[in-house]
Amino acid sequence: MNFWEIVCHNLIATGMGLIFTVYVVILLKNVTLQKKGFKFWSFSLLYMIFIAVSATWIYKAGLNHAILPYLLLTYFNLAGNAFVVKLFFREKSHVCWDASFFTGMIVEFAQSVSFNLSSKDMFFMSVADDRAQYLFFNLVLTPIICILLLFILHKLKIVRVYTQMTEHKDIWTGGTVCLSAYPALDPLLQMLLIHTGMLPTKSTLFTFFMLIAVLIIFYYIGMKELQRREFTAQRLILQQQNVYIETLEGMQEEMRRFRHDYKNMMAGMSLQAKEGNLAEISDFIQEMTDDFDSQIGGQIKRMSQLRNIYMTEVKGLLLTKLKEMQKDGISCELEVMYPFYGTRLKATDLCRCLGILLDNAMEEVKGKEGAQIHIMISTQEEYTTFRVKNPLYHTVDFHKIWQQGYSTKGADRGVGLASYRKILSGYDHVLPVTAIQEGYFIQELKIQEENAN
Amino acid sequence: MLPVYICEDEENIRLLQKEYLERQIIIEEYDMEIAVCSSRPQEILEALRLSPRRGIYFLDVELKGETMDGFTLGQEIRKLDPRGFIIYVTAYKNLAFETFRYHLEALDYIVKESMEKMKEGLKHSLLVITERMRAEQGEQRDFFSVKVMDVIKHVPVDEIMFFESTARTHRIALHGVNDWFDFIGSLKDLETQLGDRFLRTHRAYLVNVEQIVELDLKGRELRMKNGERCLFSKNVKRALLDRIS
Repeated sequence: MNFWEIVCHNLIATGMGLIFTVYVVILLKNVTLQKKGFKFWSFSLLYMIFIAVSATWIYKAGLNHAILPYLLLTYFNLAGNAFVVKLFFREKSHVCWDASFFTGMIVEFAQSVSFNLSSKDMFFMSVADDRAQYLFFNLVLTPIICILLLFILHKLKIVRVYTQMTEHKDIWTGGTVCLSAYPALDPLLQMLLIHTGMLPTKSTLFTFFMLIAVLIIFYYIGMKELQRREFTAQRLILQQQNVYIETLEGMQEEMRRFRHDYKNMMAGMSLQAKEGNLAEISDFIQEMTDDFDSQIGGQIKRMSQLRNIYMTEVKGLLLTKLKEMQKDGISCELEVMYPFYGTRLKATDLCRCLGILLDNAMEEVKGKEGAQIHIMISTQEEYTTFRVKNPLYHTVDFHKIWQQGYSTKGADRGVGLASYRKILSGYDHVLPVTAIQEGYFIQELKIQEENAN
Repeated sequence: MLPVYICEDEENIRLLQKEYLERQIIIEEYDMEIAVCSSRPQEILEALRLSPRRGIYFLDVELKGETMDGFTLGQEIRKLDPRGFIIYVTAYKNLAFETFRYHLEALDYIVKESMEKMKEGLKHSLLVITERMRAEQGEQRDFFSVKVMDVIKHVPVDEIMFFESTARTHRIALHGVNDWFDFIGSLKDLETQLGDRFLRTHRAYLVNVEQIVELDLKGRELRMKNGERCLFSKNVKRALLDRIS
């Protein structure tokens, strides 16, 4: 085989690796293919040619059995794959990195299985028959085994566990380190074992065990994470229910008190009625309705508005915040005119964002005279709006509030709004709005929902 | 002459409103007339379609036996009369009024608790409307209006510092004295729309020239009236200096 024939072969192999990586990302993150411009394709092609040529060069120079160039090339290839995939899907870097290395592992395993199926230990490229066999095993059988493997993994629902893991950073760091070490660890350990005579020269066993071990570790960690999540979710619901019950009990107590007052008032009124004092009676009625409104009207209103929120996470957040506000003496009004079922923002992100907006508003008005916060959740056909409004007690340097660490309340307290912007920057179809109007500070989060265009 | 529309499903309240408003118009010599007084939202909309002009609307929030409620009626009215005055009349004190104001720019709401309070509310609304109209006549300010998803924002042009293109495509951020929000658009379109008062100082910035306070020639930065900074590129330096001096 001459230089360019080998380059061609390597090009196909590199391309396959890349395609598998793309496939793995699609499986893992449930993303769809997108149209890309000329720049992207030419970059990918150049990258593949570069890998293929350098691999050929290493082979021709007789360095293919030396460990260092081999490792360098492998790592460069996998990192490159990760980069191309990142350009393609615009996914998070660590997800692409992991997907690329995971694919690398699968391909290596498939290769090892496929070559084990042949009877030969070595292929001589100069012999036509050997060459054909090599090409068959490397370019036909390996991909087939690869696809089979991925299919099995997909069917085993390992993907779901994996996705859970990628969302949790702490756990994921360990996984990434493991995966990243694998391409180096595999040949080194294998060499060591062969050298010490514990393994025959040609064995799938080792790669197989490595793969199984990695999968088991993944599965175990993933399951643990899944359980932890379910646990916290349940605890959250329980907490919310407690708060809800407390509120209901409070309302009942107020109702009882009002019933008592109301009896007294009625007694007074019947006296007036006997004397025929119509004006007084009408005053009485007015007073009573006002009393009712001020004592339990607000509570009932808030509760009925809360009932329109069908997204448990948001409901829970608001319940807790309403309670906090009550404790701090902040009067709060909540408007949810139409039922709110959910939005395209991820629940955790939405809660973090709303939490930041509410915390800021609370911090601003806490302890002030006439402390009040107005919250509106409005669901129109295609758009959802969250709006938090609070009176301003001092001038705000408007453009500075988003800067990390800036706050009117002193150092280190403005982190919230900076991370708010950061969370939102991960989404299209979400527009943040900030305004000062008639002495009020208004923060809006507007989301265009999927059914709209 | 401003037409007044009343949509109210309870007949006696409707008549009372009509009578009272008519009297107020005569007493205060307002330039208004009662155009339609009905229990059916469709009648209001039909009349409005026939002669679309700025009007005053007193709408009941709860319309029994109709497919439309006050909110959806308000939405339809806004499509035909974007600058009209909408006032809501409701039996419930705890109306979600901010939502009405946010989406429909409703002016006020009146609770029909007692006749006296309702009359007071009607009177007050007419007063506020005339005051608004008077203030508008004196107003010479230009406004920049832009759609932000389902609402339209109006920002006085002299309160805008600059427009900035953001990392996301087609998304522009407006930086103003009292506003900071994103919307969908392109700097190129804005440039032609806004004309001479704004200068494209940089690939990512369209700046309100009147709001520039300081030029940092070395750092190629502009300082605006509200303290914000933005960039300018080398080839607009000449034009900038000309415009400012």
